Amino acid sequence: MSRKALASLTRPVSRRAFLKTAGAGAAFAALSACAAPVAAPAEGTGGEETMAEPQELNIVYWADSNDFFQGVIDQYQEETGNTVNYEVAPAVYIEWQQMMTTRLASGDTGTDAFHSDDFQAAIYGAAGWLSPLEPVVDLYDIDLDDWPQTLIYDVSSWDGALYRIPWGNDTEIFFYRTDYFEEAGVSPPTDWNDLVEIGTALTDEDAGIYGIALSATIGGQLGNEIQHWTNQGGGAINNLDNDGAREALAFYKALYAEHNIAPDSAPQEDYSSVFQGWLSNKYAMWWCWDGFFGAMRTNEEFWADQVSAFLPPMGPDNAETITGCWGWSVVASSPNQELANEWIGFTARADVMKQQIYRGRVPARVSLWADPEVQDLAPSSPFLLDLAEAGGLVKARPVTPSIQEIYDAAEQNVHAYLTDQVSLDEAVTAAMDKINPILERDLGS
Amino acid sequence: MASTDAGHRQLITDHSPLTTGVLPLFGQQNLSTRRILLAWLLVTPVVLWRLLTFYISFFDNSPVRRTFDFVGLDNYIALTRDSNVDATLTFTLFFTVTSVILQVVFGLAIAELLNQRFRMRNLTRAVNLLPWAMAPIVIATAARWIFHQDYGLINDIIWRLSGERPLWLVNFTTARFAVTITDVWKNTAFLSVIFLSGLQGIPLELYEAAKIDGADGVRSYWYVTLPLLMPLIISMIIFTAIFRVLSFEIVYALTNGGPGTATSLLSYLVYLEGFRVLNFGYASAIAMLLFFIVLLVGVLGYGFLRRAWERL
Repeated sequence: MSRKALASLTRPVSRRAFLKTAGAGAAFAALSACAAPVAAPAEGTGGEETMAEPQELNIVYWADSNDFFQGVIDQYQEETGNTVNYEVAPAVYIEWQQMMTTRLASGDTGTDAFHSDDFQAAIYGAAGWLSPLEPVVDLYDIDLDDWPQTLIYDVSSWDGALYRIPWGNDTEIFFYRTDYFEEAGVSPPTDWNDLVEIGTALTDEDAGIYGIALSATIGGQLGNEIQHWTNQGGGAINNLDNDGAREALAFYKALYAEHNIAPDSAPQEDYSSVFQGWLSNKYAMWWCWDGFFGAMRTNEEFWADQVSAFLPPMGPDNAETITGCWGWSVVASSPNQELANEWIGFTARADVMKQQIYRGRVPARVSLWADPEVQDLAPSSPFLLDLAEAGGLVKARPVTPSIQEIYDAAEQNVHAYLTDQVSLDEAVTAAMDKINPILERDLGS
Repeated sequence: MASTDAGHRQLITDHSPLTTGVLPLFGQQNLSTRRILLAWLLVTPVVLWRLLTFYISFFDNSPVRRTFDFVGLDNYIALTRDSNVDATLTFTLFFTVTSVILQVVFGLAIAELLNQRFRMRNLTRAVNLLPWAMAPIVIATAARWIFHQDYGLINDIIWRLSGERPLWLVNFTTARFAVTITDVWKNTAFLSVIFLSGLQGIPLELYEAAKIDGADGVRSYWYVTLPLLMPLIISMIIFTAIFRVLSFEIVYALTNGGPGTATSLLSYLVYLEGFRVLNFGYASAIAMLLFFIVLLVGVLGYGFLRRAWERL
C-alpha cells in the first residue's frame, strides 16, 4: 500500500469532518427507511413440489387460550400417524394478521393450514392465497347445513368459492351482572330506551360502576361497535349515510357523553381494558364477543353467581347482533395440499370441534350447541341456541376483500366524531367518501 | 512514544477490514477510486429501493386485488385530496418541531447538569441513558397504561392531588401532548450525552478568559458555550428532526393515530396503507412525500450547519 494511501486511512478526523460525514450518513440511513413495501408478483400454487407421501403438517393456530389444542393435535397424530408442527400465532390480532399476510404474499411454503378469521378468509381468498375447499367438503362428506349459513356463505366464501371451514363460533351477546340487576331491581332491557333507563339505574359514578361497557378504541374494536349499533339502526359500517346509522352513532356517543351510563374514557377503551374493568366490578352490562363470556369461567365462583346473558335489545330497525367465526384454511402455496385437506376434514368433525369447549368456546356446528357438556363448559351456547331458535337475529359483518380499508375509514372518522373533533355529518360524509369507492371496487356497485 | 503510535497505526491500517477485506475486491485502482466505488456499493441498494418506490407510486399495486396497473399521477392527486394526509402532515409538523425544540432544550440542560462535579456522577450519567436504551415499542406500550384514565400512574397522582382524572388519549390536544412528551422523555437522554461530550471538548481557558473579561455564568454560557456548541446543536437538530419525521413506534403502540387521526404521523400512514390494507402504490406515493420532506430537512439542516461552521 502506498504511503499516500496509508496516510489517507490513518489521518485523524476533525470534528468538523466527522460531523459532516455522520450527518450525511444519518441522512442516508433515514432516507432509506422511508420506503414503502412492494408487492411480490403472484405466482402459482407451488403444488408442483408436492411430496409423494407427506408426513409433516405445518399449522398456525391463533387463539386466546391454547392449552386444549395439544389434545386435538395428539388425536390427529394418533389417528393418522402424521406429525404436526404447531406454531402459536402472535396474540395481538394485528400482528397476527400481518404475519400471515407477509407469509402468504411471499408464496410461503412453510405453512400448510392456519386458523383464519372472517377478514382473512375474504382478503386472502380474493388474493388467491387460499385453496378453495369445495373438494374437501365432498371428499370428507362435510355437512355444511350443520353450520350457521351466514358463517359459510357471508364470511368464509368469496366470489362463490369456500375458503374456510368455520371451527369456533363467535357471536356478540349482551352479558350482564345479575347481582347488580337484582340490587337495582331491574330486568334486562328490551329496547334502546330501556337500555338507557336501566343503565342509568345501574350507574353509580361515585362507586365507579357504570351501566354499560363500551370499547371504542381504533384498531378493529370500534369498527365492531359501529357495525352492531348501526346495523340495529338499519345501516352498516359500509353504509353510514342514512338516518338509521346516524341515529345509532348519535345514540352510541350519548351513552357516555350525555347519559353518562358508560365512562367517558370509552373512546380509548379496548377489549383488554374493558375486560379488566369487568372483572374489577366496574360494569353492569357488556355487549361483546361470547368468547369473553367463556373466559369468565376462569373465575367459576364469580361466574356462577354473578353473570348471565340476554338477547340484544331491539334497536330502531332490528334486534340483530353480529356473528363471526374462526376457522381453518389451506394455504394455496403449501406443497402439502392433501395433508392440509386431511386436517380440514379432521377438524370439521363434531367430536374434534367439540374440544373447544375446554377453552370455554362454542364450536361452530349448531348441532353441538344443545349438548349438555357444551352448555356446561361453553356458557354462551344456550344463548346462541336461543338466538338461533328466535331466527334472524344474527348477522355476519359485511366482509369484502377490502374490509380492512372500510374498517379503517369508518373508525378514523367516527372516532373523530366520538372525541368531539368533527360533527356527525362531517364524520359520516368523510367516511363514506372513502368507503364508496372501495365498495365500488370490491362489488362493482 | 510517537514512533510507537505510528507503528500501532500502521498495524491497525494493515489489518483494517477496509484494507484486508472489502477494498481489495475492487482490483488495482488507486485508493480514492476504490473508496468512491465502495461508497457507491453501499449506497446503491438504498438508491435502487428508492427508485423502485418511486416507480411503484405510479401504479395501482395491490397483491390482494392482484393489480399492477399504471395510473400515472393518480396516487399523487389522491394524496392532495386525502383528508388523512392533511391531518397527518399537520401533526407530523407539530410533533417534529415541538419534540425537537424540547429535546434540544432539555438535552442542553441535562448535559450542563451532568457536566458538574457531584457524587455518583457516573452512575447518574448511566441512569440518564436508560429511557433511550429501551425499545420504543416498550416505552409506548408502557405509556399507554401510564396515560390510562383509571389505571394510569399519571392520573393516579393527579387524582390524589385534585380529584380529577384527565382523559389523556381521548382529548385531541392532550393526546398530541402525550405522544410528544413520551417521545421527548425517551430520546432526550441521547442528545444530553452528545451535548455533554461537546461541553467537555470546550477548553477551560476560554471560560477563564471570559471570567477575566467580566462575564458571569449566564453570559459565559451565552457567549462561549452556545456558539462553540452550535455546530453540534445544529447537527443534532438535523438528526432529531429527521428521525421525528420518520417516527412510528410511539404512535403505533400508544394511540393508533387517534383520537380520529389527531396523532397520525406520515410513516404511520405509510404503514397503514402499505401493511394493513396492502395498497402498495398509494403507500409508495406517501413514502415519496415522506422522502422529500426528509430530504428537505436534511438539505436545509446541512445549509445551517455549513453556515455555523463558517462563523466559527
